[in-house]
Formats: sequence, C-alpha cells, structure tokens
Amino acid sequence: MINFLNVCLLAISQLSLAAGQVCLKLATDMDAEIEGPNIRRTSWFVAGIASMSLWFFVWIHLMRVFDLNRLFAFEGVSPLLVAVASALFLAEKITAQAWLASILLGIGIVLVALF
Amino acid sequence: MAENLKPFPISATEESVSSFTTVGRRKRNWRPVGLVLLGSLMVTIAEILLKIGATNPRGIALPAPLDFLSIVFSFWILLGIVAYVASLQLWLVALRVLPLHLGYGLSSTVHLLVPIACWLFLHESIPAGRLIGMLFILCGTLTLGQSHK
Repeated sequence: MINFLNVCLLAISQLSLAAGQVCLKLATDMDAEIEGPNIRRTSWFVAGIASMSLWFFVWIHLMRVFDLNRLFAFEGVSPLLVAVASALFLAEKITAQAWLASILLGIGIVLVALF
Repeated sequence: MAENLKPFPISATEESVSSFTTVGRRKRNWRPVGLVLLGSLMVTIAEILLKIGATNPRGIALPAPLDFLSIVFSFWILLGIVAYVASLQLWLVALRVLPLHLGYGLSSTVHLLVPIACWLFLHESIPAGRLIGMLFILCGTLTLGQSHK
C-alpha cells in the first residue's frame, strides 16, 4: 500500500543504505593504513552498522506491507544513489561507462520489480 | 646535466609502459569481484528465508513498543540473519579492494538472482517485462565489470 508514511520509510531505507555503505567503505579504507584498534575506524564501523541496522528493520517492516518483488522496485535508485554518494563523499572517479552501468542497473531493477 | 638526463626519460618511458601493461593486467584482480558475486548469492538466500519468516506467524510476541522486534524469534528469520552476516563479511573483505560504486553496482546482481530464486523456491512466475529487466541488470553488470581496472 503506497501512502505518505510508507514513501517516507522507503526514502529512509534507501538513504540509510547509501550512508551505511559510505561509512563502511571509509572504515575498510583505514584497514590498510592502521594496525590494531583505532577509534576513528571503529566509529565509522559503528556508524555504518547502525545505519544498516536502521535499513534492516525498516526493510523488514516494508516486507510485510509490500510483496517482495514490488518492494525491490524502489531499490532501482540505489546504484545511482551510491554512485553519487561515492563521488561526493569518497572522491571516487566514476567513468562514463560506470555511470551508464549504474543507469542500466537502475532500469533493470525497476523493470524486474514492476513486472 | 642534459646528457645525464637524456637516456633516463627514454628508458623510464619504456619501463613504465611495459610495467604499466603487465601490472595493469595483474592488478585486474577478479577475486574481490568473485567475493561480491558470492555475497549476492548469500543475500538472495537470506531474502528468501526472510520472506518465508515474515509471512509465517511468529512464536513469541513482545509488548507494544518492542513488537517490531518479535520477528527476530522466527527460525527462518534467524537463518536469514546468519546468511546476511555471511554476505556482510564477504562484502567487507571485497570493499577493501574495490571502489564502492563498482562493488555496490556488482552487488545489484541480487536483483537478477532473486527473481530466479523466487521462481525456483516460492513458485513466482517471471513475466516478459521482468525478464527484460533481468537482461538490463546482466548488461549493467558486464558493463561495470568492463570498467574494472
């Protein structure tokens, strides 16, 4: 059922997923540089896992509201969302080919879910 | 000074060109890509288990503010969480090497594997439109794999 609350929950799930991925990437990037425990790396891990946990429980709730295949339509934005986030916050160089691939994946995900 | 430098750039260029091609080939490491794809398979298994768990009635019900947590007490949900944790472990290992946009895009193969698993285990049909979408995902994954350096 699509109503305002569920649309908000869908937006929260996708944004927390992208934010969680960026946090985890920042944490694993420090693995190569730092040996042993480190507060900054642990903080990024905790932030990433917290963000992913939020996504998980919102997702579980939405699974009860939507069919599994319908729910996945809204994940079509995530490859583009994560690509934008990695360009903005991780300064990753994204080639034209990778942008094209992200768009193809997005269209594919929406089509898979809608039909 | 000029005489000393002259042979250096030439040999350096030759060296850097040859080392670039060999290193470029060796550095095109497919192991993290394989880990991401294995992770996609684990997520697919997790999604199927969670779907079974979410549709089955729960054994233990917690009181009102925590009732959303009572779903955790399902056997299928717990198995699904184990599969998710395994996929997260694979993902963290791959993420050390791969750029995020590349790894995340490759993990979209989940959306190719889930309809196949739904068809196999939940007896959901695959209409033509969804099949076209699955082909889009296949093309997107191959295009992204091509851009992997």
